[in-house]
Amino acid sequence: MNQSSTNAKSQSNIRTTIVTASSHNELSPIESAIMDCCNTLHEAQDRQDNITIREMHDQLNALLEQYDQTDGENHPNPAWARANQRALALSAMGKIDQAIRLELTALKYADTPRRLEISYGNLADRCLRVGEADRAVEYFLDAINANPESVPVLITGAHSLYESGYIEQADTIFKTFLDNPSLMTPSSELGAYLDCDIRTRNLCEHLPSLAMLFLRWSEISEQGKQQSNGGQS
Amino acid sequence: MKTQDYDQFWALYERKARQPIESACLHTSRTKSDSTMDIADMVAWIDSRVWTMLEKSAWPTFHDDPTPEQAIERIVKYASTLARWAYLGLCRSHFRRLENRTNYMGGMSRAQRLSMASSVDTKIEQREELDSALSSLRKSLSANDKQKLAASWIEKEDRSRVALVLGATRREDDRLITQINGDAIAENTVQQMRSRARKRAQEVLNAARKLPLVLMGGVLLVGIGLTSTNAHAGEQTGGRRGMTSNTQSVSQVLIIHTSEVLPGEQSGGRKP
Repeated sequence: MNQSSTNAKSQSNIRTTIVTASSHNELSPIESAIMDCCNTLHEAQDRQDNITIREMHDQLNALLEQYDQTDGENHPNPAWARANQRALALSAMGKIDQAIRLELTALKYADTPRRLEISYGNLADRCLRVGEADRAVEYFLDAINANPESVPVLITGAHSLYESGYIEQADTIFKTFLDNPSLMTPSSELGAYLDCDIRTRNLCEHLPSLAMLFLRWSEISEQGKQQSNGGQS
Repeated sequence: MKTQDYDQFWALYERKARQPIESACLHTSRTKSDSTMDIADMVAWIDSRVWTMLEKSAWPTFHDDPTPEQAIERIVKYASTLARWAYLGLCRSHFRRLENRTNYMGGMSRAQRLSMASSVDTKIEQREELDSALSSLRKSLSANDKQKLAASWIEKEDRSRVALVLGATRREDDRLITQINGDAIAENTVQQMRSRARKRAQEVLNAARKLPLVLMGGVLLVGIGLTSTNAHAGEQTGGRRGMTSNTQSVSQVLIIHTSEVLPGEQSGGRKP
């Protein structure tokens, strides 16, 4: 637990995250644009790039307005989608508490396992970012109940478990990924987290299986580069 | 094979040969391309190959005028060979595409990189340890819920009795009750604990509404155990003396919790 609380302090400064989608074909044009803006905004906040932050705020507001006007771009479940997209934007803007409240509203309208998984998973991630690790674990368990195969949910779960002091269980998640090399393709969700998520990178100091996973990932990336260099010569 | 038998052949192909071909492609994709080659592409390649062989009455399946059943038997028997052919037929373009993607991804921004990420179309295997860890976690959390519900009970003198009723009889349960009774934990923290524990109990009861009648009975018994003295559903106890924290709505509780301040989100899509 001591280790956990020390880590909580070291990770408490990181309040940004990454946004992924299980398939880009599923997203409408505005949803894709919102996702890209959110990721750019999170990255800009990491860099404290105020110009990009302002620009992305404006763009997100315009996109959300357009999304609302078109009733979620004719989404089959606009009540869920509109709240979910706005919560994503609020979260990227750093208004995490508001994002949580809005996602809870979206959750009321989540009518499929996939939507439940997304809403619960996002709630877990945001609770973790505001320091509510216990609550994050509960949402994680609900999310993984809705979809036991979700890689983003499992990674968020590993963070929540680690922060709550369940270190072995957090390590088990990454150990499972190690046993599933098919999940580690260049464009996979797991690859995206290993490449882009700062918090996951920071956690590898504390979890041996995650450290191994990073090692394996860097070997795979290196092999890919060597293959492409060989192909070019 | 006679032309009039083609329809029967394709119906049988769909029914009997499709599954073994898919399995063989999955195996080949795993062993030869580290699961990067798309199974659907391989199956489509085989479909088109079988169609060409059928049109030309070609060896090794259609050269001796077999019946549809015989032809299907041969295809099923040699599904792994067909999958290997598919791999060989597709590997050059597949690895070229992978190489291009690797080069392209190396020069992308984080947002661009993330916009390309998608879930892998395979199930997580060897997850027994993970499932067992999560299952024991669920049990331990449920024990923690009971512990918090009993320890934060509003009447001090009833706490141990409530703990007994709920089965919160572990050493750590006693320790927490003693700590709270001895005012070692701030009142505000105890109120938050009570509010959360009651909300959790309410969630369990709400989930029980969706259960079949027999299970419902069991859950109700637990519910009765929980409600033997006071109503525990936080959202419904407004106006009671000394129960201010219980009258708060879930969103109000959240506002309080999130103001204490200290990966990743997912975007929804069109799919259900």
